[in-house]
Amino acid sequence: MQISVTPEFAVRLREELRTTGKSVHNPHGGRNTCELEHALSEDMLRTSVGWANSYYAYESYANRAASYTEEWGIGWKGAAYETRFGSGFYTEIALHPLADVSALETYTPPDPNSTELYEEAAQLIASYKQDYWIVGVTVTTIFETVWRCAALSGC
Amino acid sequence: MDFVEEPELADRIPEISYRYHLAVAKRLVEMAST
Repeated sequence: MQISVTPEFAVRLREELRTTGKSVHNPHGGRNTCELEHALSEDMLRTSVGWANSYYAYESYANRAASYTEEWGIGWKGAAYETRFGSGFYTEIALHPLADVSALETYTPPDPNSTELYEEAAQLIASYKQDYWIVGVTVTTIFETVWRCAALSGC
Repeated sequence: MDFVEEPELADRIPEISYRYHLAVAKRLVEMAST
């Protein structure tokens, strides 16, 4: 069993399960402490590297600030909404680093060989390989990453 | 930006994302093998 939840639902789960409430929960797996996965007795842990982690990166990039800029240079901002079940929020793009084509000449994409990117995966393997099925993930948002960097017309 | 009007960019920019994700996938597979 493996379950991914949005960060806002993770808050509710933490309250229900009485966990510390201080851990990062990224549904894609990036920089996730897996506290909820342990509490829910899940069988599989995901560890993710890639741009998709940026969707909920306000906890890891900006100490829960409302806006942040991640390693691709894409700026994000939080957006609140209301439902009959309560308040919520999501993150949306606020800045496209390649919106101006001339920026491509000086643009430096993130280094996929950076040791830091794989520290979480290494830690998960070292700590839990005997007890969990651990899956390494890079959400293949190849086109979406381009779309978000470049602000493509008609998208 | 419009890739139809600027086909050179349609090759150049996706290549950045493709290379990144390919390198990450290879690295994660290597980690699983050790």
